[in-house]
Amino acid sequence: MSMRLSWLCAVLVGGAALFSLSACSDSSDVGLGVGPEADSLGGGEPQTVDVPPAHLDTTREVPLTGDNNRESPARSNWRFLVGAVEDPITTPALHVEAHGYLDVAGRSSLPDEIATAVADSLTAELRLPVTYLHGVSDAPIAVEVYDLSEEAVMDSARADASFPADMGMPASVDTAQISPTDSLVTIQLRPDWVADNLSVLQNTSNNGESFEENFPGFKIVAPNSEAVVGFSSLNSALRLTYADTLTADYAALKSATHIEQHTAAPAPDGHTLLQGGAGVGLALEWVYGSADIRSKITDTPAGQRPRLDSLPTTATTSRAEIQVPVDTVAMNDRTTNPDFSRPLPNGYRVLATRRPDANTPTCSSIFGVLGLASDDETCALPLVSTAAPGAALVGNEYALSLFERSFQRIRAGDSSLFTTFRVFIADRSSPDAGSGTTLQPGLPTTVPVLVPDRTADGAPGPPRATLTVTPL
Amino acid sequence: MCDGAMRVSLPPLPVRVLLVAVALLAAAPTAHGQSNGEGTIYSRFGLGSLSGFSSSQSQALGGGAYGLRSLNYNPDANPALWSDQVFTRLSGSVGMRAVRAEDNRGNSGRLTSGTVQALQFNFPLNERTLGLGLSFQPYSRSNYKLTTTDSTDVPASGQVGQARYERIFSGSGGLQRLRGGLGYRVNDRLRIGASADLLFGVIESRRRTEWPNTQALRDVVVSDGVQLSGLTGTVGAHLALADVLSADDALSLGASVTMPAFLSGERYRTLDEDLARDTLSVQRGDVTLPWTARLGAAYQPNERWTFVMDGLFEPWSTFSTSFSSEGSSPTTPARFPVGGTSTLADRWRLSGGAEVVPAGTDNLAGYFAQVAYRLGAYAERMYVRPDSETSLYEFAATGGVSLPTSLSGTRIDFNLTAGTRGQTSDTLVRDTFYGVSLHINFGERWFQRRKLR
Repeated sequence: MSMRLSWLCAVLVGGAALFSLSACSDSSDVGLGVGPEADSLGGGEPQTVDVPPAHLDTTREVPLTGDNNRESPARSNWRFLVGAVEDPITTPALHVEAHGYLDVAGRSSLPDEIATAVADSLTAELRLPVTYLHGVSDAPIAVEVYDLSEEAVMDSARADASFPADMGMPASVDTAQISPTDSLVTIQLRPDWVADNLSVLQNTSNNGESFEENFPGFKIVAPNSEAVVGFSSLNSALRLTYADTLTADYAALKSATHIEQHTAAPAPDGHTLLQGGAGVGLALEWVYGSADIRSKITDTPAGQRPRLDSLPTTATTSRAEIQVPVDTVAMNDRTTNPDFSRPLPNGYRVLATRRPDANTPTCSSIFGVLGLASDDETCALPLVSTAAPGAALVGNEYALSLFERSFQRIRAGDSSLFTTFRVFIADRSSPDAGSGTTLQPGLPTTVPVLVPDRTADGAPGPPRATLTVTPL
Repeated sequence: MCDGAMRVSLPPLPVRVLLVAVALLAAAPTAHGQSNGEGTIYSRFGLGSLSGFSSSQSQALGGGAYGLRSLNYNPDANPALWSDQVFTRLSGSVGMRAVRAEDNRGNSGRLTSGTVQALQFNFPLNERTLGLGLSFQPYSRSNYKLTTTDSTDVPASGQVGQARYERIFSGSGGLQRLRGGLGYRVNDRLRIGASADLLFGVIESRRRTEWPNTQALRDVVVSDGVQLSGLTGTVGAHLALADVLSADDALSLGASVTMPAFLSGERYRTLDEDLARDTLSVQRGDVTLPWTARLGAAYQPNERWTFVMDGLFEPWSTFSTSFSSEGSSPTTPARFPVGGTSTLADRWRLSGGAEVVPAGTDNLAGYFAQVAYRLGAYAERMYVRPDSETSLYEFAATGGVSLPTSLSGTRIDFNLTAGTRGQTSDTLVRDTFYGVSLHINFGERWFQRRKLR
C-alpha cells in the first residue's frame, strides 16, 4: 500500500509540474514572414498624429466676477478690478474698463469712543491690498468712490452686471489717487460722507445686520487711468479712525467687477484673441465621420494632418491630449512700453458640451470622476495646471477617455460624445494649483492672450488634438 | 508527508485515483485556457496544429497503432478497439513541449508550454463484447508568439520623447473534440465500432501593441477569432488473425474513417480584451473539414514483442468555407483560414513502432521486466503550406516506458518525442521540438458482479 501511494504521489506531482508549465517563451520575430504577403503578420505600429479641429471660432461666455465671503463656494484670493487699460496686443489697442463694487460687513460692536463719536472726530478710508495690475505701472491712478444707491446682489454677478450708484457726488475726496505698484492703497472718503453716514456706521444692532441692510456699498471707478488694478476681496476694508489713534475696520463682504470692452480690434494675423474680462473664448469642434480610409493614416505624408473623421474606424488610441497653445512670444513682441505690465493668466478653463442625445453618458460616466458636470450639458475638463500659461492642456488621463469613448460610439454607428470644446482664460492665484482647481472659474481679469490659428515658424502651433494611434 | 496524509484520511486507492482523474476532467476547460499547446508559427494556418492523440501506447509507437488491441488501453482513433474491454478505464494525459524555431538567417526563438493532451473514459457494457468510450481532447491548437521591438516619438505636454513599444503576435485556442461511441466484437476475428464527434472551440490570433516602459500609453489589442462547432462521426473495424507466420503469433488490422465535419460559427474582430472587449464586426459562416482515413497493422510474434505500422490520410484540399475570403476594411476580421484555402494541402502520415515487455505475461518476473519499452517514429506531410507552394514535412522519433502498478489494470506511462518540422527556405522556418508527457491509465472492474470460480 505504501509503495502504491508513493507512486501515486510522484505521478501526481510530476503531472502537476508538467501541466503547470504555462507558455514560457524566449519570444522573437522568427517566423514573422511566414505565409502569403497579404496575410502576413504586421501592422500594429503606433504613430502620433496632430489632428486640428475641423471648426475653430471664437465664443463668448461672460465670466463670473462677483463673490460673497460668507457664501460657498469660498473663493480664496478673489479680487475686484478698477481702472481702464489700452492694451497694445491689438491694433488699435484693446481698450478695457473695469468698475469695482465693494460692500462691507457690519460690526457687532465698536469701541466706545467711535460708537459715541461725532462726525468731526472721525475719518474714513478704504484700505485696498493690490493683487493685480494690467497696464502702465508708473502712472498714478485717480479713483472715484460712489455710494451704491441700493443693496446689490453681487454674489454671483457676472462681468456684464452693473449696479446703480449715486453718481452725483463721490464719496471719496477729490484728490484721491493711488499708485498701482503699492501693495496697499488707501482712498480717503470725504468728511461730509462720514457725517451723512454716521448713524449707519455706528449701528451695531443685530450683530451688524442693521448696518448691512442700510449700507449698500461702494462703486469704485478710475475712468481715466492707464491701468486696471485688482484688489483683494477678502482683505479690503472700510476703516474708521478716531482722533488718529483708534480704528475700527469694516471687513469686505461682497465684491464684483463690471468689465466693458470699448474697442473690438481684430486679432493679429495668424492668431485668435482670447479675452479674460470680456469672456471671449475659443470654440473647437472635431468632426467625426464614417470615412473608412486606412491608408489615410499610414500613407499620410509628413506635415499633412489627417482629419479625425477617418480615425474611429481605422485606428485606436493609446494616448491623447488636447492642446491650445498660447503664443507668448507674439504677445511680448506687441508690448513696446517697458512699464506696461500684462500678466499672463495662470490658468484656463475648458468646457466640453455633451451631445444632446438621451444616450450620451454623463460626465462622471465618461471620465469616471465626479464633479465634472458644469451644467446639464457641459463637462468641465481638468487641465494640466503646469502647462499654463503657455497652453491650455487636457492631459491624457481625460483626453484618452474622451476620444476613445467617442471612437467606440462611432464604430457602433452612434455619434461622438461632445459637440464643442470651449476654452476660456481662467486666471488662478497660482500657476501650479493642481488639476482640481482648473475646474473652477478663474479670478476676474482683463488680460488677453493670443492663440495661433495656423502653423508658423517659431510659433507653438494651432489648437490640436495630439493622438498616438495604432491602426486596426 | 503526502504518504502519511493519504494513509490517514483518504478513501481506498482506486477511489482516490478516480477522484483525481475526475478532478482533472472537471478542470479540463480551465486547464486548456491556461495552456498553449505546441508552439509553432505553422499553427497560425488552417485550424492550428492537429492533435491526433489516440492513447499513450499509440503515442510512444509513433502515433498510430490503429490495429493494436490491448487490455490496458482503449485507443481513441479506432472505436472498434473499444469492444474488448474488461476494465472500466479512466485515462488522463498531460505533457510539455518545447519548440525552437529557426529561420534562414540563423535567428531562433523558443516556446515552451504545458497542456492537457486527453481525458478518456471507457467501460464495458458487456465484457469483451460491447464497450463504450468517451473522450475529450484537443482537435487542433493555435499557439505561436512572435515579438518585435521598436520605438516611436510620443509628445507629452509639449515635450517629444522616444517611447519603446513591442508588437506581440500570438495565437491561442483551438478546436476541442468530444467523442462518444461504441465498439462491438462481432466474433473472435472481427470488431466494429462507431462514434459521434462533437467539435467546438475558438481559434484566436492577437496583435498586441505594448508599451513596456510606461503606463501612460494604453496597450492596444486587436483580436481575430473564429468560433466553430459541429458534428461528425467515425466508424472503425478491426480484424484479428492468429497463427499467421508462426504458432501463437497474432496479426491485427485496424481501420477507421472519420466523416467530413460540417461546422458553423462566426468569425469576429475585436478591440481590447477581457471586459473591455469591443466587437468591431462579426460574420457568420460554415466550414467543412475533410474526411480522415486511418489504416494500421500490428504484429505480435510472441507475448513479448509488438510491432505496428500505420498510415493516415486527410484530403485537406477539399476543405471549404463560406467565410468571405478578403478583409475589406480595418474592422473586418482577418481572412479564415489565414492565406486562404490554397495554404492547405492533403495530409498523410506514416508511422511505425515496436514495443517489448521482457517478462511477457509472467507476473512473477522482476519489476523492470514487466515494464513495457516502446520506440517509434513518424513522417508526416503537414496539412498547411503557408506559401501555397512548398510542402512541409514533420519527422519525429517517439519512445516511452509503461510502468505497471500493483493494480493489474493500471499503468503509468512516460513518453518522449523529438523531431523537426518545416524548412528554412525563403520565409519558412524549421521547428525543432521535444516533448515529455505523463499518462495515467487507471483500470478496475466496475459495475460487474464478481463470479465465483
